[in-house]
Amino acid sequence: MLSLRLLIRELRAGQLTLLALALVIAVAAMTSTAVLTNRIDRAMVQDASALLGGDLVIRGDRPLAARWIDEGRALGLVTTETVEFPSIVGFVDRFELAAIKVVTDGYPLRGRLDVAPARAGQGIPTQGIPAPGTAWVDPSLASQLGVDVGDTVSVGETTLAISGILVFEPDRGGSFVSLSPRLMMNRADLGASNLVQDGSRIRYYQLFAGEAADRFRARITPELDISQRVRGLVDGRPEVGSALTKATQYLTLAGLLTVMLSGAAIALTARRWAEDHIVDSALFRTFGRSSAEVAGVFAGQLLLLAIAASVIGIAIGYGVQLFLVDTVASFLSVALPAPSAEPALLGLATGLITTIGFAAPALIQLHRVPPIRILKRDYPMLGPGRVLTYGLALAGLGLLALLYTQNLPLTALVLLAVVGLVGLILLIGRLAIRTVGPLERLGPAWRFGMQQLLRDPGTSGGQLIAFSLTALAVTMVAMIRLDLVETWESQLPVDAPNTFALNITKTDAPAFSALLAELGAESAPLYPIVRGRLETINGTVLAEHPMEDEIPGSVRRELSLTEASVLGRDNRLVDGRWFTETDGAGLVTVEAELARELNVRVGDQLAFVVGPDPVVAEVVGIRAVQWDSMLPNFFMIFSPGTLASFNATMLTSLNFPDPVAQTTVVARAFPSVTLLSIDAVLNQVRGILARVTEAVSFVLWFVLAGGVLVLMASIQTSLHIRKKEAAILRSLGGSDRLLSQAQWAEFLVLGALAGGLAAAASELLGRVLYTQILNLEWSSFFSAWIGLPLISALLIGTIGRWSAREARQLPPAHLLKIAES
Amino acid sequence: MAIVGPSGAGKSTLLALLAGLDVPNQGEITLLGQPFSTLSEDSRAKARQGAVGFVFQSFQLLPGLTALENVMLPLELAGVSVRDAKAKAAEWLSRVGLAERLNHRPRMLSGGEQQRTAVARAFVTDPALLFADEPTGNLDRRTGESISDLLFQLNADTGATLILVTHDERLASRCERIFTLDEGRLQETATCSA
Repeated sequence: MLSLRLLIRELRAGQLTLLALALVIAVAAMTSTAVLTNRIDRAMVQDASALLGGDLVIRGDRPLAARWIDEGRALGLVTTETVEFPSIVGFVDRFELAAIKVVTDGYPLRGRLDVAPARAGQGIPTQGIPAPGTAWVDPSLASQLGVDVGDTVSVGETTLAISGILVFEPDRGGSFVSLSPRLMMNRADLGASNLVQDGSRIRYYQLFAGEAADRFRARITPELDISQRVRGLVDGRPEVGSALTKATQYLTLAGLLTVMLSGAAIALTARRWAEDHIVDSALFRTFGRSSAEVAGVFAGQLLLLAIAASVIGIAIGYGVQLFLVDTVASFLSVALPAPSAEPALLGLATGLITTIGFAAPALIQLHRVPPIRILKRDYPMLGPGRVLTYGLALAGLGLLALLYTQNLPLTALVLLAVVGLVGLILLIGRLAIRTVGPLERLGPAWRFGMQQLLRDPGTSGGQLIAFSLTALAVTMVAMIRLDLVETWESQLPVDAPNTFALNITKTDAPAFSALLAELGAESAPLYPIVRGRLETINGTVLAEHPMEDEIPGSVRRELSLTEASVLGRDNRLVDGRWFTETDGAGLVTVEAELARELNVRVGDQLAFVVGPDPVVAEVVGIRAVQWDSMLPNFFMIFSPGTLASFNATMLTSLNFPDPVAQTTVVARAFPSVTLLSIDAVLNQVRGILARVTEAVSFVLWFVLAGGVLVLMASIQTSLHIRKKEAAILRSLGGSDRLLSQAQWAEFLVLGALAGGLAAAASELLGRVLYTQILNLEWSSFFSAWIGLPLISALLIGTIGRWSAREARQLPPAHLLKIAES
Repeated sequence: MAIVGPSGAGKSTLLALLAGLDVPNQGEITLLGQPFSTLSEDSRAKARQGAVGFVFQSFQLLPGLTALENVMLPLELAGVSVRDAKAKAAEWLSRVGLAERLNHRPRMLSGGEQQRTAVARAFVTDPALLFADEPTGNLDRRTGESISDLLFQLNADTGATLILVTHDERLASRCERIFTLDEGRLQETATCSA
């Protein structure tokens, strides 16, 4: 195949290096970010299933009808049942209320249990459930009862031997407030305990897992009665979920930007390639080939190059994610799914689409070369129009963005931003170039340098756009990375709480606080907890109050209400105010998201019932809450005194410097207080965040590589004319020094202008990206206005001068020879 | 046959018209029995294939290809197998005295060597007609002479018709017929023998 042979010959001659590199980088960036996001997304879904113990859970007041279980099995689902109810557990003369969970073989279908061999032991991942006649208790029940492995406890009318300490239970749920201490027992012992009586508060959970879970859900949902509820995959743990979501968004964005930069590099190098092959095309025609055949030879070359570069890019992409994802995986509670073939296809599509979109105009030009060009170099040639050139590039980019994000509005936003920014930079850039004239007075080198810019505003304007967009893309990606990492670090500072303490009575509170201070444990304020239900807004019952959607789930049941005098450090007022010292009882601040769902504003009157008693409060503030901070947080916080008349227990979060030993000390001193260690979860979250940080840092290198390629490609396109000019200057007696200084002057000024334009554009783009896509707070980055032009001048000055070195270093005779050809 | 004339007289344009690289506004050109000027661009290309060779003033070698690959190119474009193309190209390069320079790229060859390569490329398809546009224009006198020796020698060996456009009277005088193009008129001004 002639195209292949020509391609190999040109590659050997080094004529296609930049074009091939640009393609490889585009494909590698796209593939690795796609693989990363793909695998993280799927892992998050799996993590979410672990939180349910299965892919689908049906909860009811009685066991699920056997025919449904049969039907689920017929669909290929595996299933198991758990039963939960509160009951008293006794040991010698101590009795505690515990949440009993009765499990059947197979539980959990997703996720795993961690069981320790003794109270002081480490949890070990465990397959299986407590054997008949035995039970597992969690650390807080063990400490409240004062039992350890080997002791025997009474449950209902039966006794069970403690055979393990249940350290981790995947489907325990995130709502720590409602947690009572846990005892887990085998289904075989349920009958003997005689705990299941008519009227007992028992909940049956039927767990299903398997690929057909969604289909089964669709079938069963309409058939269930009012007492039964289906839960499918919900968003996983918010503290990890939001970080991973942001990380995947970031990766997607960085991938797209890399493709855009590589696309620009491809367009520039392909144009140069086409110009270099005009003679070839004419020559082929003199050899007797038709224009279609000639175009076929060149198209074949490009296509083969695209495929070869894609294969290399895909290999690099998968290699990178092997390293990055598997380190992320080690911190997730589930095995990470193997990479799918999808990103490889996306990589190949990237290679082909960028080649076609960005290099097609070059091909069209080659197709139209008239054979007489071989004799007359100035014979006019009809290149592809601008509309076609930019239209093809934009269409290619749009198609890729759509394939990549599968999100039409986001794609439209990206394209609009590209068109808008290019237009803006084009406009301002042309004006800016005209202002460099006065710099000519700085000396002969400056004069030559500035003349280079002023002589052909079209070409220097094009370079300015390329440089500005590169600086913009690299700045945005670097800035977002900085902000994400900062957000993640502040989310879990070193002193983040590692333990929750619940059920602290008012009488115990002073002594409890004193003990914490003695142990050096930092703690959040003690929040009194009162359970209450929201009844009316401004005197209207919820059902009749106008809301954008149906009544939010969180207020259909009892809410945990609290009061506080100090605003938590992870809370931020978005409307109204916080309480002042002069405020009396009867005021409330509401969490922002719930306020929006409930259509509640500052000044509204909310009425709650707590047991039989009403509580009325006026809304004075709306709070944005960082739910993933690991600190206690509440939908409703009342002004101090509002809840004083109710019998409340208190809760707080604290940071034990030595969690294992100190938990035991506190649990002994205050047996009625429930201590819930979240140290393991915390470490897991920290680990994931650290890995995700690595991933986003890595992707930055792709963007940088794309940027450098654009710079080199754009200089390469002007190298021919530079050599010619250098030859003339040198032959007229211009020194090497003069040439070098002129190049410095030219690229420094171009770099400074590009930096300034990028700073201006980052103000616009940053605001949109931060607020509309990443949900981060945007703050103007004023140092960018000074830093960017400086850095960009230095970088572009250095790279530019280096890339154009050939136009300086060759002997004049050689340069003249090139200039003539 | 030589076409001579002052700069700007239109010698190269005439050559382009004769070779079917361009079409006339008026009149008709017949080449190798075909009404060339009324054919489409692609049909003219077909008619040229293997029948017409070119030597250019600025050599027009592809910079990325070696001498051997440059000479192979017209054969490869005509669908000749790589093996045969390689053998034939190597043979022609040794005929022009470049047997030792097969794997050199153009920029590693002297001007004379580059033009020899171009000559080998022009003859490799055994053309009936060879167009040469100022073939010695970019070379010093001695090299130019050795190139014209080569050109006429090969021309005699292969029996192809050579049409050359030149400023160089010494070169023109070696042709059987000389035409002068001046102010739009072409006149046969001499007939001699090499």
